Amino acid sequence: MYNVGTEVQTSIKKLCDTILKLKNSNLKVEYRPYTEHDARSLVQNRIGSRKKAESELGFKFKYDLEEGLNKLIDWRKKTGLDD
Amino acid sequence: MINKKIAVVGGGIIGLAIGYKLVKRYPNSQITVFEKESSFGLHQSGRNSGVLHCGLHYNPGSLKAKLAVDGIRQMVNFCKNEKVDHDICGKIVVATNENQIKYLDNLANRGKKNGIKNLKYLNSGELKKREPFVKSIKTLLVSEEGIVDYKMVMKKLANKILENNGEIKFSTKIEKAQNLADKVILKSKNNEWSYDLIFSCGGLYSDRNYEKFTLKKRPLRIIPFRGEYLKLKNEASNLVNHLIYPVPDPIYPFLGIHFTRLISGEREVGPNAVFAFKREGYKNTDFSVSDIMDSVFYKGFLKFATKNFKFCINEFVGSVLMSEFVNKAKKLVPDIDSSMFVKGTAGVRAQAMNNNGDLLMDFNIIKENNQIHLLNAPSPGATASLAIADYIIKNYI
Repeated sequence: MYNVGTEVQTSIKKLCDTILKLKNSNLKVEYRPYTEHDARSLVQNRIGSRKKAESELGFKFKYDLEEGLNKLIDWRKKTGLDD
Repeated sequence: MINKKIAVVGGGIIGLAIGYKLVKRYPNSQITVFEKESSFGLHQSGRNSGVLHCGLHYNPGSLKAKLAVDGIRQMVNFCKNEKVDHDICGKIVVATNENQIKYLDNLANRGKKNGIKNLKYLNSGELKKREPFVKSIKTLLVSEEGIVDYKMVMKKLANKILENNGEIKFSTKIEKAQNLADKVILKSKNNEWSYDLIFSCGGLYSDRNYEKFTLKKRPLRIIPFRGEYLKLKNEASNLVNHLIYPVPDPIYPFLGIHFTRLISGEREVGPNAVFAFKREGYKNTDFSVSDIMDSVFYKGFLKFATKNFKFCINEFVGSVLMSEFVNKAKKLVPDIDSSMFVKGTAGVRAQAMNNNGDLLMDFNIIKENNQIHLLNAPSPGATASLAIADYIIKNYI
């Protein structure tokens, strides 16, 4: 099992805000309190170490969050999944 | 069916419907849809007239008849839930001469047997209100039918697959398959993947995929028939309000030229049915030597062409001469003329034919080991796609 990532921590809020910014969206984020179910299942912090993938697979990340999201957004447009 | 790896080859509306049903039904399995183009539904699924068909024309007891009514109801529900543009505007089938009346009555009986509700003959006042420019001596209204944006349906299906942990590999053409013990290895030019089960929904290439994947002789052949549409200019669009169909001529294999209002509001007339010189060729100059040889040297084809000589010539003339095309449409709406039209879109139907030159009208599905091939899915394949997916999953997995 390998972690594939950047070791840069990203909060859900930051991820959400970045997507909305890159999509030029005027959607508003709706915040709700933690439910019991959330509290049970949600891991609050998760940062995968790059070490094993780097040393054993030679994996090096190429894109930061914004570049990666932009590529995803472009792909979704190109494939017709998004307008 | 827990933790299986399943692939669907073909990202048209039926491949996507199967993918969608699989991710819902088997959340612990790993589902992948392969599509050779850079987007989904670029051929038959995205190039039809956008009609929601019921079970009016199909032989009672056939698979088409069984799935058509469930199919349209599932599709309409899906559109409602997913906010896909559609309109159950109803369709009329129009008898324009005395001879057609008995065929129209036959259609109504078939429809009833197939489970369509609210079939009704319109009197002249009702017809005038609905379609004031249609000339008819007897008119059947099928109020359950309508129009839909199939591209939007496919977009929703594709997104649902991804949201439920499925995968869609675009621009990936599967060239070969290999059966290894209880696995199927799918191979593209540069890659290979192993699956427990595959579905092939190749549309215009369903027969060739069957041969390439199973290494067996294909039991039927896909003969491509191009269908061309003309678009009514805006100033003439008041001549057509909803869907207007002729009574199909029983000696001809297709439904006949009809008028359609598209979801965009535009009005189209078509399609004709011309033997196509290329499977994915949308212009009448498109040409593929291997596709032509594949049809012409098939022993069934010569038999078909001999039996249907008049039909073939007629349709070819209609393709070359716009006036001939318009003459057929004029039988339904006499006030139209050639000046009211511009060239519209075109599609190619994947129509299976057997050795005897008979067109296979029903859906055709074959299972070979861990491969399930959908070999023939002509109209109403798009409307019935969700019901076809259920049927195949239930009966062939």
